[in-house]
Amino acid sequence: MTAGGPIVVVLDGRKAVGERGGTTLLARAASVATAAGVPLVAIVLDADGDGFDPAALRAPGLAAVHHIAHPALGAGDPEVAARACWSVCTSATPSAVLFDDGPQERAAAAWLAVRHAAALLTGVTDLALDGGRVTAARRAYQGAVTEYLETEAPVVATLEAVQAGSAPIDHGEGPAASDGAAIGEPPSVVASDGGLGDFDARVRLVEAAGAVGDTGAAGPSLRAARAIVAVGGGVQTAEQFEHANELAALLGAVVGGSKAGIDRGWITAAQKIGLTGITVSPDVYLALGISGASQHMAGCNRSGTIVAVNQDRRAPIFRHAHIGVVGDLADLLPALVAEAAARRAAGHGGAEGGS
Amino acid sequence: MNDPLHAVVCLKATPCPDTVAELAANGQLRLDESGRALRLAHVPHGIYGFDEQALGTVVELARSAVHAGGVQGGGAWRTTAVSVAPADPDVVFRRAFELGVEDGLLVTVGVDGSGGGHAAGGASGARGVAPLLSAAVRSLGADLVVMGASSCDGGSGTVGPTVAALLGLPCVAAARALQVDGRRLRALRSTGDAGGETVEVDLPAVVTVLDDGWEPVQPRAADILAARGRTVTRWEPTDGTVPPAVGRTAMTVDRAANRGELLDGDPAAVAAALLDRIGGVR
Repeated sequence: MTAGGPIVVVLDGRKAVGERGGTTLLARAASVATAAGVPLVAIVLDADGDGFDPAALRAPGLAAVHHIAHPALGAGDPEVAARACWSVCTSATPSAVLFDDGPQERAAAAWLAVRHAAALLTGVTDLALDGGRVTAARRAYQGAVTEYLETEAPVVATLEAVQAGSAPIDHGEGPAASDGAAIGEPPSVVASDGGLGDFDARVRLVEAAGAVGDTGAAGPSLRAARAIVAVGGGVQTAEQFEHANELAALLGAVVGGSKAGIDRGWITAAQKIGLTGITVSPDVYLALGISGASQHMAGCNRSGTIVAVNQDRRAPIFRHAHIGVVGDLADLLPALVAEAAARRAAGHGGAEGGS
Repeated sequence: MNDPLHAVVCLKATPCPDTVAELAANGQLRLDESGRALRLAHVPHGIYGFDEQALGTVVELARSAVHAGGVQGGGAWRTTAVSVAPADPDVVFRRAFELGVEDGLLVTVGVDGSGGGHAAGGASGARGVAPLLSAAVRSLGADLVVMGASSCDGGSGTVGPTVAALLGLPCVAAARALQVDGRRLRALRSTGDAGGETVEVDLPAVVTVLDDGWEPVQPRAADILAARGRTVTRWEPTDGTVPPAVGRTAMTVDRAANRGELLDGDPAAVAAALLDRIGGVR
């Protein structure tokens, strides 16, 4: 890898590239590459090679797509992903390799950085390249501070999800159409096995949904949600939780929550939002009975509009909320459900379609 | 009979995250004179968050191995806690010993902070710690290395995978639950919004853990008594990998403050007002 080389963005074929997470990453990588004046190259890691058309991938400056298909990629072994990426890096000599920001992506990024002596940055919220100089911003202390970092290219980085609206996504035409920049010529597509040959993953996938412990149920795609109804310890009865679900359905929202929501049995660990769970950035984050502990807020404080409903007016979440309601969920939830249902029935949408 | 499995737990003393969060919520988080770090000397330091879970995980697995006897292959495990130059080593190792960890290895990096004999010793954060930890683990000959998925301060989430890469060991990142059967480890790990998946790996391996759904491990009287006789070995690596430099040029505090609108009144009126404001969501 060298300074001045292209930006390489790594997309996980196991997550549908057309969904929000993948296209957001691609759009952000395109922005970094455009600002740096270097080409963009995409790697798509694909376990089975089916169901994804690399030629359909579009972004400004996207010069090439390396579609790497190999069964070993199905295990999600970070070492395998890093090896596959390096097969491209040896020829593309990138100035930066960008991953999505998740626990497995951070692991793969670490492997790639170590193997090839690149600087490593994770949870990056902003990244810029100026020649061989790399500047970045990331949050630390569970979101309480932002630190600004500087290093030399080449760099391997994971990009944190951005606040809704800053990287708009076009579900039908791809990311390029949504940011208004020139799409350019279709990228060249290179298919390979990433040099993995008969390499076996040392971490073996046993079951897609977990069997060890009791928290393995796969959750809905919270990161792709435009609206989230999040439940916490303040949702105290099954009736209140049912109302929260009804409200989510009326809003077209996905249900998630805090650790307290797991403790009360409302959600599974797969639906946990926060430092130890999923980082989300929906347009609307409706937090019901969530106190706003820093571990939770680290996962949601980049939402477009944070609405907090809590009985305790001193709850920390009110410091982060754009709209706050101090009140009893037992009274407010039925009212919200009734109002949202009435708006839907009236056909002017309310939360569903805009008013 | 096989050799006892040697489990190493890597621990980092960090400022109490609840105290930091409270300071942040009250607008009392301050930068130091350099403007590149927080002023946290007055905040208690200890083992928190994922590192606390990593310690509990190793202790639980070791206790289970004793109960299972031959099923675990080697019977009782050997357990070691490793920490890189904490400001107060006693805070780290006393906690580990009281929960039943047998040995402690304090990785020193030179009394003058210059990094001692290790080229990476003067580095701070994840990039400096990982080479030191990997050198320590290599010297111990560990079968299983467990650490928190990320720390409560920097939170880079890269130390475990970097240690694994430096040692050439497989890495299971962000595990929520572990089982060890002989020399095989099975883990439920987080995959972000895809939920969880179960993976398997042959030891030796590096595992980083989350704290979801695990009960805190309680100290036992016998371990508390035994802790008084435990000693910490000081160890200074002399060579290792030097990672590329990453410098922190500035830091800003997110001055959380009430920034929003407060809705009040009759529930029906509040509901209508709220839906007016969040309208447009599809």
